[in-house]
Amino acid sequence: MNFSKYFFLIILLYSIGVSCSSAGKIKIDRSDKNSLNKAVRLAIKDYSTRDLKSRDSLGSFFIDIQPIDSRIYSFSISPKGITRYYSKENLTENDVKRLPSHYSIVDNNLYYWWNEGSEGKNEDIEIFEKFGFLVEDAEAYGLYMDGGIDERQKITYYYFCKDDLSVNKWLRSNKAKLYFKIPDDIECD
Amino acid sequence: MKIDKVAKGILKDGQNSETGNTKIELGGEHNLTADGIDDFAFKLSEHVNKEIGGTYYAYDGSETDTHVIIGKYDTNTKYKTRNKGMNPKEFINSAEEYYKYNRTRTFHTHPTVFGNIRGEGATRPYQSSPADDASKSEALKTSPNLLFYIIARSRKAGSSFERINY
Repeated sequence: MNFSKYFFLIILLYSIGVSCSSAGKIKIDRSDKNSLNKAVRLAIKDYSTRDLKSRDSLGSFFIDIQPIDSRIYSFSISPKGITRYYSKENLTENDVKRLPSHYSIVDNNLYYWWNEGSEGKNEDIEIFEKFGFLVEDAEAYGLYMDGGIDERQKITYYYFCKDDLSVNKWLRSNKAKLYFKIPDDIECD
Repeated sequence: MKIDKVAKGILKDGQNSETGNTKIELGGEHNLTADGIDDFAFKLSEHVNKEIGGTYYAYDGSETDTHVIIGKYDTNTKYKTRNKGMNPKEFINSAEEYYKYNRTRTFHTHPTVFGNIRGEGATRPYQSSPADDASKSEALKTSPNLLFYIIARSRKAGSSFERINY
């Protein structure tokens, strides 16, 4: 094999390594009495046993709920960046309302999300402090988020049929234009 | 560092935008505009081959932007923005002052080198990544009216950069 063939092979392998996508399905029994929170918890279980094996460090994970079809629960899971909320001492009532409305802790990792119409709660402040969202800094004010974008970070998207969560699909990718597009091979009633 | 033809008055003598956040007032002696600031961010980004992030503010009820904070970029890479200047804390002294800084727009650059590395072709710098989109969605939880855009090399003659809303 001459140099140009080696070069082509290296470029090909590198391209696959930095921007490949993967997809699959969570195998569960047909279900009724479904809810968004039930779908989210199934996804967390899947994510924590598959995607966390080797690719991500332990920590906090943002669940991005994005309703795009009335028949489907759609959301993504991604590692939290350098997101900070200042500060514990100076939190206003309005700041607390803007904290995540829901969370789940699995294997010492925090998964957090906002459900539409729900607000953050005073009783959850300690949890968010434990995971580094709030800092004790008397000179800090308000609530903000900043930075921490790694454009190569792969995001895992989940799609569940609302009437039957066993019809579902996950897609993991860092490719542009894949943000919440319903896969062709998922059909809901 | 030397960056040709950037708007005057952006950096003060002795200021190091690499290791410290930079707060800039719009208007003023040099009549600084958002075009001048974004042009500076683009050229700096191209020069250092790193993403540069920043956030515009409208101070004390102003209907137009009055300030921009450009985040320090020493730990940024061509794929990463660590700081987008979203916290004015270090430039103020009281909570009362803090709440006068209303965030209006936040940006980060996609350096030109960005598109060629990913194997996704020349269109890549002009698209938000899934990580960009997730980060935007989360930031909207605390700043619901914030606008987001990418700065990249212009695809049209006559200007150096273009803005891509996402």
